Amino acid sequence: MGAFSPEMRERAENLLTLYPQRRSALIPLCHLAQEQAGHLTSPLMEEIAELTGVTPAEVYGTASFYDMLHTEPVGKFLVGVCTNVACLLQGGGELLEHAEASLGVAAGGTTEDEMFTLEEVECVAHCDKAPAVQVNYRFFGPLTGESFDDLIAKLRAGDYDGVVPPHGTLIRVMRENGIEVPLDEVLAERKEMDRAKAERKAAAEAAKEGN
Amino acid sequence: MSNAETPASVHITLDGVEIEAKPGELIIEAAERAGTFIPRFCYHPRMRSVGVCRMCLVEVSGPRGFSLQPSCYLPVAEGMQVVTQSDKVKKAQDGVLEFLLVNHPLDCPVCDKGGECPLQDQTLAYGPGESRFVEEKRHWEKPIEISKLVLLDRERCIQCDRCTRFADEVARDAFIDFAGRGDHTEISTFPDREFTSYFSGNTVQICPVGALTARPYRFKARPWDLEEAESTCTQCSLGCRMAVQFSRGEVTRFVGIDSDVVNTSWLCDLGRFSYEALDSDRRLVEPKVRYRSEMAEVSWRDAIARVGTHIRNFTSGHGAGSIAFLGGAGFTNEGIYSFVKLAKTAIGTSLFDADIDGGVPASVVFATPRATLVEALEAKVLVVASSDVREELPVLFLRLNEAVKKGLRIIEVSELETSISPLATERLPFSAAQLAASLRSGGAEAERLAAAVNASAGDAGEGAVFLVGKSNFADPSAVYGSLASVCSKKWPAAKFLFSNSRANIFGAMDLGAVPGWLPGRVAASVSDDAREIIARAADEPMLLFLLGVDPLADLPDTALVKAALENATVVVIDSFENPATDYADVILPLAAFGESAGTTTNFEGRVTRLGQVTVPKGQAKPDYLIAAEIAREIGAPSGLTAPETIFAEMSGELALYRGVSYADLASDRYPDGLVVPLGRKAISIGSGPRKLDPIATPGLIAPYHQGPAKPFASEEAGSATKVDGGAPSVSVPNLPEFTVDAAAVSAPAEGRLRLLLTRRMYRPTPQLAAAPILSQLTAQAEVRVAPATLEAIGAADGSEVKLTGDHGVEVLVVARADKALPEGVVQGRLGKGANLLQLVRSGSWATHVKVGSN
Repeated sequence: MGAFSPEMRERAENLLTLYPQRRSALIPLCHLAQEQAGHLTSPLMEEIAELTGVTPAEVYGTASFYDMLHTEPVGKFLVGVCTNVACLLQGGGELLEHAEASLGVAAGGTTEDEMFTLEEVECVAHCDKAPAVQVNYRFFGPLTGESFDDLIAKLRAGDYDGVVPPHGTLIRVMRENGIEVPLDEVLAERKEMDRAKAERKAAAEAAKEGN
Repeated sequence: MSNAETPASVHITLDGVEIEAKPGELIIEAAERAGTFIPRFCYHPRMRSVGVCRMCLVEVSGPRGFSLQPSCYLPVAEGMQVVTQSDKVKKAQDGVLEFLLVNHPLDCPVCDKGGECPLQDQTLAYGPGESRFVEEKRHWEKPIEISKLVLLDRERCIQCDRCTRFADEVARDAFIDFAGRGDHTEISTFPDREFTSYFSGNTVQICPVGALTARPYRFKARPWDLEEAESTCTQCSLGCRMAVQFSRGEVTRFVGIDSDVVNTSWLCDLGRFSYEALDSDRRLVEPKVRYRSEMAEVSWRDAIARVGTHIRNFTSGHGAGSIAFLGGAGFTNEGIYSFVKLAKTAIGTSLFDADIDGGVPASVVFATPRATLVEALEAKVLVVASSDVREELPVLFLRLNEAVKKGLRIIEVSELETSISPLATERLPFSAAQLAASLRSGGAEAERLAAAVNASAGDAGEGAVFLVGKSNFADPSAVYGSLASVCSKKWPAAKFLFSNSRANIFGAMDLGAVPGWLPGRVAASVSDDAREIIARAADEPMLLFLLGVDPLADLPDTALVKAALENATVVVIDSFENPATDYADVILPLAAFGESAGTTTNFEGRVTRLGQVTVPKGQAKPDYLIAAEIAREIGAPSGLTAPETIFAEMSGELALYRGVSYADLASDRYPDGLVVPLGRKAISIGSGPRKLDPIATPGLIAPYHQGPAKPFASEEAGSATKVDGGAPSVSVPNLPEFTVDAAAVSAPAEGRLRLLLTRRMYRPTPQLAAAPILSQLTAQAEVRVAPATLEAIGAADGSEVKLTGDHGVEVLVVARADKALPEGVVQGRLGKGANLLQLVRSGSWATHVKVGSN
């Protein structure tokens, strides 16, 4: 009945246990939802609201703040062309123009076959391979018009399956058995931190009084 | 730092003058009390500071000299130096305003806020005067409807976070939030959902620009054309203080007044927009009498003559005991007093019942020590055994939410989850009858409540406050009377409030408009209540006066009510058309809110003045005048033809009102009225200094008796009224005994479920039906049951089911599955569509229904 698949729901519930306050899991859960559906659908946002104990409007407000969270449908591949300084000097601007012409959509648009969404992005820290392109947050570069078209063709043909994960998957290696939280360790660590903090404070106060 | 070390005050230097401030106070507050206004947008005295608009930057001394700091975010500290006027501050203000105006449209001439707009005013007062901005401004679709009542113009929004903070922290309805980022930031609801808060109108009131506007007020008036008068909302018995603003004899809007002791500037949407109905076609505006089968418009003289004839005929034919008055809880104190005098003195009947809902009976209300709202909010523990507060006394929910944040402990006694449940420390899932029986004869329920109460307030309940009210409208009032009564016996030091919610029901009790009482809380012999009167009227010839009530909608046993109305001779005195007017022999049009002066009494016993701002619509007349004309017609002229005269008679003759004068109630001295009776010790009757910050509540200019803020001591107020202290002059009756058949309440009924009837804020009342926009929000009747129950009868969630009552009445109604509900009960939510009250039989201790598929 829920918007999350049973497997995702289980992962979501595991994620929630990581945080002392449920609402802290909001953004991780948004990523999880994107991993399932590619973007944040209304039912998913509503389920996240229910899980984190906030209102759907608050989930939407948070999700709409971040560029990596999408509240509108995006293509299977999110293609970001960098036009920040290093890439710009190496022809990033021209590459974006070429990409727009070649995919037939303006930056921000999605192709009709729902395969590609083109974005203009700020520096993606791949300056040594300028002009750089990222596809579902995996990097390619330096690219020319030709090699860009070649990349698109290969993505379309499925040659990069396994290298470029479906949109929304953030981590390369999926954990096999969900997320294991060694809660004892976490608690012990927190306790130790609190103790150290109290010690420092006491020392500081003692020093102050000594003066 | 321990309490002993906290200084009573700190000293800061404000613009070269040393002033005293309270520890922990924000600079902006300290400066304001000292008379220095620091411009601001996001700061609101009733909400958490966020410091986002930067308009309140001032220079504050620090270890490295003076620096610009937001005065709404920085608490005062001993020796702090603050400069509010300097070149640096001026430059900061110029800069902030220039930035705010980058994207703000200059559509002030067509903006509702123009003329009362903090942005407009402060730009004029503190702005640079010129803009260097030549680029295109940001554009959005304008305006968008975020609810039926509120429209959003995102171009005008300056992202002050006031509406979103209100929705989240004050109303607990975070259905709006910021979306997007940077210059794309907008206020947004969740896609395809509405801002369905009961309190949405407050966001319009506190918006410092014209981004949020209220549909009922849009383009109605310009602020500089508005006159205003202070008044009290009469949609429920909380009695929120508000300014009624009007123009050319028409009420244009209501604005909440920042009264510390009642509503801290908030209003619910039902109260705020109830004026919509005042000009409706559904108003009764002509006196009418029945000629053969038709109602004909007649003059007042003819209508009153017909009423007089009826009274004479019934008195001589069947005795005065055949004449009964139902309702009146919506009237002014003066109107109620006049009608009670008419009924009980001139006519000589004791049949008068204003408490049509059958709430906590007057005998208990008078016998228990009453708390004030402030006492309840500051109580050691507050026990809420009441109908859902947000549905019945909406703004009280906001006050409780605020109080819980300040540490109030709430123990809720409720079978159902209510709006209070998330605020409560503990919810005891008992019915009122169950708890009352357990408290009387000992039991697990009583022990749990005692443990919870005694932990904070001790065995005597010192400092504990109980809010008792009808949590199940299928129950007889004795259940709630019994509960309050046994609680008061067990905790003699505890104080009480009651959630009977009809506007002036407590005034009606005080003035003897309930069975067994005479004006001034004077006991009389017991007489029939509304249910018994209706039962009699179905059999015997009776003359029924319906004073602003519709018994078909408000009384159980609809078939019996119908029979009674058909059998009886009915005189309707009301402002709005309602189903009962079909049965009327005479209709007397009643002046509505704002059309009549007088006073009203809230649930604390606080008497406040109602402002008259316009003349009654059509031929309508104020309640007291109608009573006076009937009295004159039957040869008992009362002379009670002006509220001043009537109030003078009340305070002269009734100990309850001794020391209170009509003029006092509209004076600067008692801006929030007086709690009667006066003279009891430790009664907090006044408000503190009023926060008259025009930026906190734009739109409020100066209701006539809001003077400048001044200190106000309750002791002083008590002595000023020249009433002897010590013993209260109004005698307090003994706690009444009720016999509640607890066994009958909890008796299991084979194959049937116990019916719990609850109401919602937007319940179908004649006034709501007459309000064009509010009426669209009227709640539909529905029942909620445990999912298993629904499954058992093979009905889907949201499908229609058939309820069969004890006496064979059948009702078709939509059913919804509710996981929070226990099995064995069905929650009926009253509303339009199906009439669930007809399932209830008058006088039965519990109502059971069979739920079957349709």
